[in-house]
Amino acid sequence: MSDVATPHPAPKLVGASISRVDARRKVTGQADYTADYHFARQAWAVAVKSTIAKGRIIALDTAAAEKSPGVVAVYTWKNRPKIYPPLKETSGFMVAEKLAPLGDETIHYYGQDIAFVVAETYEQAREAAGLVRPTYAAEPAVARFSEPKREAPGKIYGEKPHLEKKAPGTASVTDAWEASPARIDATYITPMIHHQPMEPHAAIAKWHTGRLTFYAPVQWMYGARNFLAAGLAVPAEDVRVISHFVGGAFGCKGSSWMFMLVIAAAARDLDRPVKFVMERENMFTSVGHRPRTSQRVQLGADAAGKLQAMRHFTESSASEAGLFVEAAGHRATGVMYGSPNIEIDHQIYKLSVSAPTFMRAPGESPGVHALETAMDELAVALKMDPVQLRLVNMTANHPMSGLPFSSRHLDECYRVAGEKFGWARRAAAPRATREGDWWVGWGMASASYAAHRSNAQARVRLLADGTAEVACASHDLGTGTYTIMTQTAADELGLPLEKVSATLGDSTLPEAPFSGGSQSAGSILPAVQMAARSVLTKLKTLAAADAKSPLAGLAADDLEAAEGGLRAKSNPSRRVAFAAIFEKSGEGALEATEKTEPAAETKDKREQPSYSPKTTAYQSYGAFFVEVHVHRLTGETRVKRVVTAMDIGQPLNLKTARSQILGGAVFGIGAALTEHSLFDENSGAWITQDLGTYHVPVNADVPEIDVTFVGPPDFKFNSVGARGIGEIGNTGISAAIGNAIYHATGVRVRELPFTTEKILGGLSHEGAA
Amino acid sequence: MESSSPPSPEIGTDRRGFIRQASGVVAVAMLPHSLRARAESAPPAPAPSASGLIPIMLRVNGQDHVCEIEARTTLLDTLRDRLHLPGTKKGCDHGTCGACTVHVDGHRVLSCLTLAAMATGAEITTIEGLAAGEKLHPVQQAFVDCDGFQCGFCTPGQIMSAVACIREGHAHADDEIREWMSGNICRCAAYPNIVDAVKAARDRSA
Repeated sequence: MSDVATPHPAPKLVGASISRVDARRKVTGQADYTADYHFARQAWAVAVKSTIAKGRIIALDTAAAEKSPGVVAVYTWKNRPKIYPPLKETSGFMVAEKLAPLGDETIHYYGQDIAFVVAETYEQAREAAGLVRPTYAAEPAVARFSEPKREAPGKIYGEKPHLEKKAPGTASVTDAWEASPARIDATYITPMIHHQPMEPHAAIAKWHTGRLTFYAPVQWMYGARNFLAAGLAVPAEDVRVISHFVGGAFGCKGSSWMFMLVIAAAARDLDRPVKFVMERENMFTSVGHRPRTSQRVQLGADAAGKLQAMRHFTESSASEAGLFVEAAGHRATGVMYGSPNIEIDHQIYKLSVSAPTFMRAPGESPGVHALETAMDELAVALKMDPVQLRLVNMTANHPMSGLPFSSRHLDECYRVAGEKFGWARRAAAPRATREGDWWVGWGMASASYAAHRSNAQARVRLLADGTAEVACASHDLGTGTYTIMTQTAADELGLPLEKVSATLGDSTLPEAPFSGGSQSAGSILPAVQMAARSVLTKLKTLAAADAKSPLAGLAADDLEAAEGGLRAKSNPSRRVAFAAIFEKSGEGALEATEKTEPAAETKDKREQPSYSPKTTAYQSYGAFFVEVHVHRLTGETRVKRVVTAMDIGQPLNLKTARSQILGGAVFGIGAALTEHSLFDENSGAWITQDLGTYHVPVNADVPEIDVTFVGPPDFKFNSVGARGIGEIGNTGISAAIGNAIYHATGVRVRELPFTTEKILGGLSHEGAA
Repeated sequence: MESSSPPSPEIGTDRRGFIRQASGVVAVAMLPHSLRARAESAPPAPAPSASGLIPIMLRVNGQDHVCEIEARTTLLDTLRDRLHLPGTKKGCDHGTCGACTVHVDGHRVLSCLTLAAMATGAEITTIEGLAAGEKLHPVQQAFVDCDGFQCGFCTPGQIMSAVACIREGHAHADDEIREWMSGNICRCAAYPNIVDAVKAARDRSA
């Protein structure tokens, strides 16, 4: 068996700029998303939502709905179809909500499902849903952010809520902070925001002889399968989840949601397929949000800017009905800069609100925003260039654990992006540049995201006609998974891209982990490589055993796959096409399924042997440089230019990798300038429940974005050298925009989003004219 | 689109303001003239059958389709659920996202805000009807080449808008493309690549 650590043949496709292999399906309308399926005898379900946030239903009149044309069933807590809701997370699946669906008459949040109406057509189901008449005994909702008691959560992504590191002889981090010559003490607020993928959640449940086929856009095929099996009391092998295309997810399709169980149980109860497509307004009440955070950051530095003390204390909102806790300081101040004294604390408060869930760069996104804004404030206090301040605080080791980083090139990110941006020409003082009615400002910030890996399996099959198939139960959320699986398998097998097809999004395929935490590529591709190499090993054995083959008698180590065949490394003119080997041997196809287990520290030495999270820290870094224009009279802010450099190891496909960073950066532009889910602190209701009032960025909001990748492949992390890229683009950019607004106007806004009224208040204070 | 007030950056009308202004009248105002005339001159409505359904004929991608629908059924739901053309996507169902954009008599229209019964007799083009057999439309090819999408869900609407944007003459400058493509939300945010794709297709078809 060859050693994966020395890749052969040299990758040709991995790392290149390649159009997506599923592009044609996407531009012709042939890509099959969940709601595109239509089955004979299918009925439609529509949910009825609570319009209070806390209390009880004292009467629920379903008579009119039941009599409405086309209605098949109206399910409430009184006649819930048989389910056994799993209300806790296990290693096999994730849930965000700990409430049984249609559990009883109690209301815990605004938008809670109180009934499901099933009818012959969508129009009929929707009409009947409007005829369900609840009578409530409302109670005061816990809706004011200041009201609930603060409590320590059990864990923050596996860490203790309170972390502390002190230099020898230091009594407390606060003492060290107070003793620092330059100090910053500021509180930053990030609001509740929503994922809003363009594809709403959907589900189609179809039973046949006691087995369920469930179509749904999910980020974890096996998780959804295991959740449904537990909730429906059927064996996991009797549940098949299919999700060939996911129309965006950003975290909200990661946990299994309770409505999925109701749809599956209703289909079982009615003995016909049931289809459900969530209305856009319910995407604001029912599939999670990013919690609100309030983060107090205290930074202390010496006169040269060297950090002496960092304190990052966070309070984040949570749900009485939910499980998820948003991190902040743990994932920002805990990973970014060297400091002898660091203290991080996290508390939560529970509201009468629907369950939150992880959203693109959970923890890092709000945490890095606060830290990187505070660093800018510290640079101002020190009269120091913001890049220089960061450079004097670089660290080779993880700030909390002290472990060495596998590969860290954050300083290179500043240098490359800063030069492209022209940072050296920046005026030090704010309010230095105006173009007409627009103040011009330049700001920067660091980006960071942890690198994760999980167990993964993949199957590779080489066919006698010289084509190959690569498969695993992973997901393509727009992330390019189909394409990078194809590239990786093609490189290993020495085949052109068009000879390889990838299959994913089906829970009957070999197990792949949750597509979240930027872990999919780094987890599944080593398994794809191993499976491909196992297929080649079988093929080499066949070839070498054929006495008439040009390769007869050669050692397996001397054989490599290239140009659709095997050849001798020592003499490439000795070669045989795959088809010829198959023909001689009579085999129709060769197949191998392999598994990588990074948590077991790769006992299997065929896989990259050096992955070792107990002795090495794995983290990606980046830098954003941004130019904004702020209107002197209206406070309107336009992002005019973004330059970023990212240290993420090996970019697997330059085209799709760049797109991932663009997407993350624009997510950050939205968080910085417009996105704010308004939550009524009196009633506990969501106010912004459509895309006309919840403003995600549109084309006119987005300038050119210049993306460069720096740093070498990270082969200490895995055998493809890639650390994952989906989330890091959404860290740091909101701080860079805020820092640029400060540079433009002299106004420091400490609460997201940076809307006109917040900037204008400062501008008039500063004397805008 | 052209029959409604264009978003005019000169007077600072942003997209949201535009949507707010337009949404009240959008069901009629965003229809092409031919359709609007049909709607306003109120041709005799087909009589509902005993089931409450009305028979309609829709001409989609050059083919006539006859079906029976409830009068309240949108063009979007008719295309997807009755004619089984699911390429056109439902992103919001109330005219704020653009995922459902189709062409009616050559003009871009939000099919979620159009009743199917108002589109009888018109030439409807969906994403399924854009390519000439195996050969992609230049805008489709440009989206492939420029990676003008990620998840692909908004893509049919983006492409139908882009084809119209070029045809309308709203694709001269980058900022003009950004403005006239701002009725189509892409949460994956392929926006810079979409601008590149529109330019590439514009130059190819020029």
